[in-house]
Amino acid sequence: MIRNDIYCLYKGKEFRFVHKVDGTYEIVTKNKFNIDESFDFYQNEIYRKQIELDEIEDVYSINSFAVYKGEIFAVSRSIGSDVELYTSNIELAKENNMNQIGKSEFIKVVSKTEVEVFEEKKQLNLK
Amino acid sequence: MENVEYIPNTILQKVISVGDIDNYLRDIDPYTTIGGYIAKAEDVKHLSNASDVFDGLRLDYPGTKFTKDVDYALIRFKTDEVSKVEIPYSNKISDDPNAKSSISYPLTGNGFTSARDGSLIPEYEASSYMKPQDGAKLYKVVNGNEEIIGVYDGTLGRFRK
Repeated sequence: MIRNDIYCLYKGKEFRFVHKVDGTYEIVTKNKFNIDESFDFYQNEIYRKQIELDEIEDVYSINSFAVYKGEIFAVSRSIGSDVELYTSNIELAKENNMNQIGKSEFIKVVSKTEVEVFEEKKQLNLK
Repeated sequence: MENVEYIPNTILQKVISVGDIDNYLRDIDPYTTIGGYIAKAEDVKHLSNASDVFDGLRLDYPGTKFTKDVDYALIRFKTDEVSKVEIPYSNKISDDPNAKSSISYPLTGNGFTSARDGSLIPEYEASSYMKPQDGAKLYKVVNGNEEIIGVYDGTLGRFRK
């Protein structure tokens, strides 16, 4: 699974963390084993619960990266059995024949079998 | 790249080509995050049509999909991942360990676009993909008129039409 999102720990379990436009916060999951009756069904198998920042133990971002031909690329998304690699490094993009999609933004779709995906976790301070 | 003094309620803006709109709104495998070069919305509010945006943000890089007279799209968003907003310095002018060695014109590497009218437009780069806050808006800009075509649903984790 490719993850580029914000997560938090709530009662020792990991949930996706959502900062709502009205300033409130939600924890979100598709895992029915992580929820109780205090969660509401939203849609697309998603369950949510409004929480206060004081109720969560930790907030962090997780980004996915991949090692491809010995170099590290960000992974922007999963596309079926492929992943889309991303770099802002022009030289790296040239070496790997990547397609330009924006200002110093390059992508290449490769099979998941060609890469080794890993995640990077960074703490966020919202309090 | 140097981190930016940044207030979480700052509205950021990302210009994308019309051809990339579908990548954010498609049902299957959409983009759900924002990366690359961005600006503070207040710094670019004077860029109100395709020509202004093209010249102001210097979208005339090799391989560009933009022109002075082609419509474009943009995302205005806030993010909680403020630590990822950085100034893309060149290592020719900065000794920051993350300064870039592969910057080439029209990228400047000095923290500003090389706007053709000489104005100073700060530019920033996401060091990795950032999640927009709930309520971020995707606009299509036609003849300088903005039309909302998508809103980021944080609970769903994607833009919806």
